Amino acid sequence: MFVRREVRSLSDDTLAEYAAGVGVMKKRNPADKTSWWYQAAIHGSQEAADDLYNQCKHGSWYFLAWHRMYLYYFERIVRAAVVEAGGSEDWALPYWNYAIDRNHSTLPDGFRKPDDEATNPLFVALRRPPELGIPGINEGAGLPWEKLAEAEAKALARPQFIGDTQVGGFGGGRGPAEPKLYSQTGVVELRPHNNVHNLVGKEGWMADEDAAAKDPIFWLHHANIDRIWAQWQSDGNQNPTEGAWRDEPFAFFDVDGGEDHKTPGQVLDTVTDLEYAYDVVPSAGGGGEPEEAAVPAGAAEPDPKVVAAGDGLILTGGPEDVSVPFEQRAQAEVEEASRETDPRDLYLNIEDIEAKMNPGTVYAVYVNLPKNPNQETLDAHYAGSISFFGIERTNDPRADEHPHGLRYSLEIGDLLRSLGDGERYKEEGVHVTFRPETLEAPEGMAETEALAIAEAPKEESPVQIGRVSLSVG
Amino acid sequence: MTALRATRQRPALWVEAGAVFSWLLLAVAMGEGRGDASGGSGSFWGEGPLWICTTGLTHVATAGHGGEGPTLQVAALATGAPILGLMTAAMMLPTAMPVVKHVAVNSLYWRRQRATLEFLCGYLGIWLGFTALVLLPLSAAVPATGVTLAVALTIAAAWQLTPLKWRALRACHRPSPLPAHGWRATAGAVRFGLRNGAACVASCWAMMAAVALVSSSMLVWMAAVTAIVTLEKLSQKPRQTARRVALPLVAAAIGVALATVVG
Repeated sequence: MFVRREVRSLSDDTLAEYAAGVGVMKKRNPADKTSWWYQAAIHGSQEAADDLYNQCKHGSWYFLAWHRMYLYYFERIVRAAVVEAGGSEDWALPYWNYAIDRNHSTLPDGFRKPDDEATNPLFVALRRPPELGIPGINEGAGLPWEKLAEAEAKALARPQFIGDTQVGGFGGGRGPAEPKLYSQTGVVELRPHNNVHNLVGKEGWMADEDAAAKDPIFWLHHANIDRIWAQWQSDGNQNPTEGAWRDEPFAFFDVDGGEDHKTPGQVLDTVTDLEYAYDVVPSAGGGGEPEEAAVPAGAAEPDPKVVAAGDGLILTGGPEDVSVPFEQRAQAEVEEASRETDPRDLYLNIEDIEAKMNPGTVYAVYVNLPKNPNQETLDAHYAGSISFFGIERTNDPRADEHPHGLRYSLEIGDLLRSLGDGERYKEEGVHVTFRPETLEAPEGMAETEALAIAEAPKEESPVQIGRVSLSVG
Repeated sequence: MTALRATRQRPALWVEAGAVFSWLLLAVAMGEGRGDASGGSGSFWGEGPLWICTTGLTHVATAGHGGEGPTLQVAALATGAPILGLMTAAMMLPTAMPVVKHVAVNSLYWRRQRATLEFLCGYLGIWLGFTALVLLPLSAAVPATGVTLAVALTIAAAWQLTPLKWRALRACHRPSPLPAHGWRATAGAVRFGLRNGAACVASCWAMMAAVALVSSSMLVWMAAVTAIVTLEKLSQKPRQTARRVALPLVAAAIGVALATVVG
């Protein structure tokens, strides 16, 4: 049994051994299936040189299972490389839990010191750079860990894997198994997964699906996402039972370079199926036949009703606003659904998102945000964060699957209820604001100065949002 | 209440019903033996619906050159044009259902049906235009023999293997923003219909051209092509499915060619 531990809790040589193993793999011929570069290309590559390049699964219910398998085989290959470099035979991949507190939110020292790619296999120069007074990720700036902690808690609180059609469940919608025109990203994939890719890798490798797995921190980030799935399973939640999910085979290369296959149904229990556990997660069981769950993995609910829709907008890195105007009957519907007693939820939908490339920015989305807000006001009107990791492939997938337009939905019922009557909605509609998220400002920087950085106009690669709408269901 | 719930869960129910109705009507119309309208001897089952239209067109072209007179032209076109519309609806509505549902559930809920109708105007409009401007003249110009059908099926099979085909199939899944209000909402839904219809034509023009050259068992051919196009659009692995579809098309081409030689 191998135990994956939080990277900052390590007191042994695990991280140094990881560096040594990565070093060994980087020296291998890129055509070697167990080389660093081949393993990264399985996730994504600009080239299409081999059948098993560009296999990563995003925006569907395969996301968690595919990445669990990917990490499993990678970990076996690294372990062999660690042993080859003289390390321990029970080496296990650590995970990076950036959402514990501010101290844990910075990139662990081993990945940024020494800052020389020639001598430190874990260092990558192409990570998020400094921005207007806020240090870059390699300079020790922290991720917005409180938002990430909230995202993890919200994801863990979703009882359904597939979920309803509007927001998606914990793990993602049926994706290619169900003919929808938009991606069905699971909540845990949207946040924290996508956002951390951008927060760490803006203008670098981690924000690029084709390069992300070349950064050694990629694997610790995904181990953390896998830990969250293991936690969700351990909490008694039910994975999909449909054969289209459980029995879909995926191919990888094992430690001997030979091709091997697994299905999601074969990786449900990390302990019995894959011989690893997380230090903080009790075993969930579940390797055998699923028991009847209190909440089914996916329920066929009617689609929410769209009650209002506004124009699209273009995001270029600075703050942007858009109005979602109400017709009279929409106002009545929203007013009714906003009542505490109404069981329906309200969804803010950001739709038909297209871009040639992921600009690497994470946008915090606010509803009815007053002008010149302070941090307290921002917190009160915060609906969620979105980012566009992987947008390049939504309309041009490398693998053999249909394209899917990108859209995100945020639940805003509780937010609207928490706002005062005057701010809940205006008669003319809901006002939506997008503001770029920054890394944590250094201690000592004034709040107004930190907020000004987010508000500064920028000229990034544009992201087109086709429509912003409000639905009830 | 049951009807209301059904409409809520299947907002495009009337389109699904329309597709089924189109097939039923087509089967009835084709089974009635309209060969009489052409003055020909065989049952319409044996002639193909495009034949009625093309007969009309041919007679338009030959009028004044000893043709059989305007009565036949009017009769042929009057019976052929509605059948043409039915054919298009019957074959293309089932393949478009995921997109139709997308339009319905993503429009303001009080204009779901209207937006769906607007989308269909664009989508079916493109197909009707393609049929009238390309398939009909093709059907009129090329004799519907076993040889021409075998050639058309071979071309359709070859098209299945091209990257252009895969790109077109991919474009069938690309959504388009749907504005909410006023003329922009109408324009948005129609534009989406036109764009999706154009992608659909680009994806399966070759199979449809083969259908246009069928001279017997038309309903069976239509059903087979509809099933294939629907399968491609719903497939989890569309490129693989598109490639595999080439096999039955080649098999059909060989079968038709052999039947022609033996016959």
